[in-house]
Amino acid sequence: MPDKEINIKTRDFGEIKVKPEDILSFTCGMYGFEDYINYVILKDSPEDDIMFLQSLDNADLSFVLIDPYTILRNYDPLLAEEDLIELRVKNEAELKYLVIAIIKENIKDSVVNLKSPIAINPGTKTAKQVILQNAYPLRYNILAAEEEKRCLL
Amino acid sequence: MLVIKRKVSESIMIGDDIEIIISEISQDKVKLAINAPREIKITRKELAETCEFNITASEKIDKNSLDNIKNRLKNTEK
Repeated sequence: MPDKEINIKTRDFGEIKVKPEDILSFTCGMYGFEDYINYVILKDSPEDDIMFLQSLDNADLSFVLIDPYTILRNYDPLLAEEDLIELRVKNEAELKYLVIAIIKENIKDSVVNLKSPIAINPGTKTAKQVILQNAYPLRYNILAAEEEKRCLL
Repeated sequence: MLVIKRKVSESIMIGDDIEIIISEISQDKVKLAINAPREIKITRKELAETCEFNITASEKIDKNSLDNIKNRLKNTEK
């Protein structure tokens, strides 16, 4: 029997229903927002690359997420040993990654944080914002990939 | 900017009561030990920057900018 759905309040989608198994628990909150632990990932429509990380503990708190591989195809996160232990995995390949975006009115000023992605253990539904060992930029232009492609043409 | 060369176990002082000791050096990493009063906040820079990034990222964005980005990303994948 499926788990009973829960009503939640969201910043951008009004009141919606989520399944308990869709709730992510952060081992410690997002940096700067340590008090909020539980989130769900929402989408406008299934084919979108843009997602929302909506807090369940604070309806007004939501972040825009992007699949980093749509921006950098060979994104290859390297985690600190203690982060792997905290997320209860043996290696990086067992985790899923999403990056946080700052969307500006001028599209050219929009950036993603490739240095500190959200790492998710899909099995346990736990997550953590990790600071990678790689030298990825903390502010990477969303359209950089597009620019590079244009250069290749 | 002040640049100083130090060896393992040597240290520098910042003011009278902050000491930074070079504890270990490997090929691409240096381990530091810091003695400082409790009230001095010590953070890795990328952590402080991530904190600042998150605060900006949590601001509500207008729908037009969002739709704009969505469309551009779709085009990029093709």
